[in-house]
Amino acid sequence: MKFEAYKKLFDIYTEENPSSITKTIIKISGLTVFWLILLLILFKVFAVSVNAFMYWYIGIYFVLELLLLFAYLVLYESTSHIIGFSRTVPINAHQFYFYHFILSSLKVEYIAEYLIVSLFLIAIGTPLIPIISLIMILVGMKFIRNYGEFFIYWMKKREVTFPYWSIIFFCIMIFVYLGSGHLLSLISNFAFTLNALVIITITLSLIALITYPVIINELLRDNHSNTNTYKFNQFTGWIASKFSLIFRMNKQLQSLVKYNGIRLLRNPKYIGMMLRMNSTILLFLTLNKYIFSDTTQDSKDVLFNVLYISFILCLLNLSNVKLTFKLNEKQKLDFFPVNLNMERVSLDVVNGIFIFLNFSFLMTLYNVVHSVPLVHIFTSVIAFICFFMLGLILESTYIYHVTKKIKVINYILFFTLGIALEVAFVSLIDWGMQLIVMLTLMLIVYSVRYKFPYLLVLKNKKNESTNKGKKPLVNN
Amino acid sequence: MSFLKVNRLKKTFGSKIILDGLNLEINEPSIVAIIGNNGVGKSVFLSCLLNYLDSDHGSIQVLGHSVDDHLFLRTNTAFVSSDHQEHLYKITPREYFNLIISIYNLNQDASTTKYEKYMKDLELTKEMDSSFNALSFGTKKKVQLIGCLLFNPPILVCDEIFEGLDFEAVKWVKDTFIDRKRAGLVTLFTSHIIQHVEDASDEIYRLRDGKLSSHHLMKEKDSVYEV
Repeated sequence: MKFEAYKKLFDIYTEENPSSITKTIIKISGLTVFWLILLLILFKVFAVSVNAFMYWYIGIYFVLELLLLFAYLVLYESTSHIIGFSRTVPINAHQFYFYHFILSSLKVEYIAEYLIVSLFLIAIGTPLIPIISLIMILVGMKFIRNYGEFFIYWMKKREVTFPYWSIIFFCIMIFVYLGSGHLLSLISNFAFTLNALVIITITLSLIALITYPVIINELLRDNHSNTNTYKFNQFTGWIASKFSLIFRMNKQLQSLVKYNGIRLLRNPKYIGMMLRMNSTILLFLTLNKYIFSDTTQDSKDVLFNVLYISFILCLLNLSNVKLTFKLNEKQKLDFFPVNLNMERVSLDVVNGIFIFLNFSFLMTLYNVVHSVPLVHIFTSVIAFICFFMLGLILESTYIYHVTKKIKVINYILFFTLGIALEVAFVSLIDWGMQLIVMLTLMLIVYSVRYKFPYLLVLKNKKNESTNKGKKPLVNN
Repeated sequence: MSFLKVNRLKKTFGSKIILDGLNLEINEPSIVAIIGNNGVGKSVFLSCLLNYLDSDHGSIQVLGHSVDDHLFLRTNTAFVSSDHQEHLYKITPREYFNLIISIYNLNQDASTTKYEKYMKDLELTKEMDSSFNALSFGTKKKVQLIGCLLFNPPILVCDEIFEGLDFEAVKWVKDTFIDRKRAGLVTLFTSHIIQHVEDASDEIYRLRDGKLSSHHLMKEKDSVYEV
């Protein structure tokens, strides 16, 4: 495949219109004027030092590259589209990788920008070595971002069969959290000088250069595989059967709990999400330790942290599992002759078990590091149930399809009510009151989610069209 | 009371009219085929019929009940379609059949014997504990059909049922449809393969311009072959 052909494809998938020479000249002229004014203001008016400018420039570039990575992967999904198309045309891994790098990272505007900045820095007497280092870091960042696009996509593809990366990241986070004291002292000794940044960039670029052929070749091969391990199926089936036994008095509920359990245990996306939720919380706890330098050891701070674990876990469950992953829609329980309340009970029970296992694990880990008083553990369990119930109440505003409006309402309400609950648990209410709040929330969940499942459902055109067959006529 | 009554059904996607005042009535146990060109809306019609998709206008009644009656609809109908298999992902055929047995409250021993026999007939016994995702296109359809036959609903709807099936399986499916008719049940299916339509159906309808019209295969054989 020729470069020009790939360029056309790239423009289509990034929704970019091909630019004429006149347009490019106008763009570069505008860019030159903008940069000259900006640099003059920074150096002449505000008297910014060259060092400070370089660090800010690198910092802003870093953020922009992260945003670009997000845009290509998530917003445009151009990486996945381009890979999907490239599988059907004669292009090899090296061509594909470098064409993509040139088009996404070495545009005329970028080169012009590097030139303007470099010439300006030379003009004000900056030595050549730091300028070359700066340009190396900037181009290196683009190279790593380009690699990151494919690497993340490749990781996602591999996670289709088993959540390898989530497990690895989770294990790393456990070690980081447990040994954060030693790691933090190591990090604090490390100086982020320009030379150090150049070394980091070169190292990462080398890793990218060595490993990209493997990644790209695998992506271009379209190697779909399914988990079909007899032992794994047997094992997950056995676990789901065991915990569904709790509901043996209701055969239908038992079979639905088993069905949901089996499907979720065998779903690498779901399991990966559960592990990443834990990793995220461990990351936050480690950062919290770093920022507050482990001074948070009084009883109230420990309580705040354990409540924080409950809150974030339930928030991530609502946000990632329910609103983004759309668990209720994905399970397709409406394909069976089952009432909406039965559907909800069975799915809430299974998801609740997974979340509670996460919570118990995190609390155990936190207890190992901080020795949490028993009373705080009880409070955190009650708070966890309250946050989980709050999530269930908010989720009752939709049946399957999640619209943007529902998402916004759910986020805002969970944040405000959740934080109010957390503050109340920390400072206002005693143990008895906490139990009353929990029971009240459970009663509300029972009423609005199971007894009258359509009470809070927000009506809108889109919602109605996808909530098929689940109309009040049947249940009420 | 009719098995199925569709009255002035209308479905549009944007400005494109897919179903335009479609009528259909099935009053007796039979095998009914729906034919039509690609993209004419056969699958959309079946999805609306079983309430997987909203219609814009019109009414659909199954055994005298509105399709909005979710429990009644799902208890008395079944759908075999490669577009409606997400609920089977990650589970094995055996787990699926056992789920059907529990949900429809069927006799465990009799139903187990039944699905084991069906699986054996279709030479699928070795796939009993494989993940549904790992099965081939045709095998997925066979498994889905066996699941539906376990509770043998009054109305069975199959979308492109013969597509991807081997010769023996096609024969088995046709025989099954005939058995269902003898048992007083209705089977409605779509197909592009005219030979199967001719062999298996009592009534043929052609979907064209959003409407169904009764189709006489022998008289218009040439035009039907264009389908």
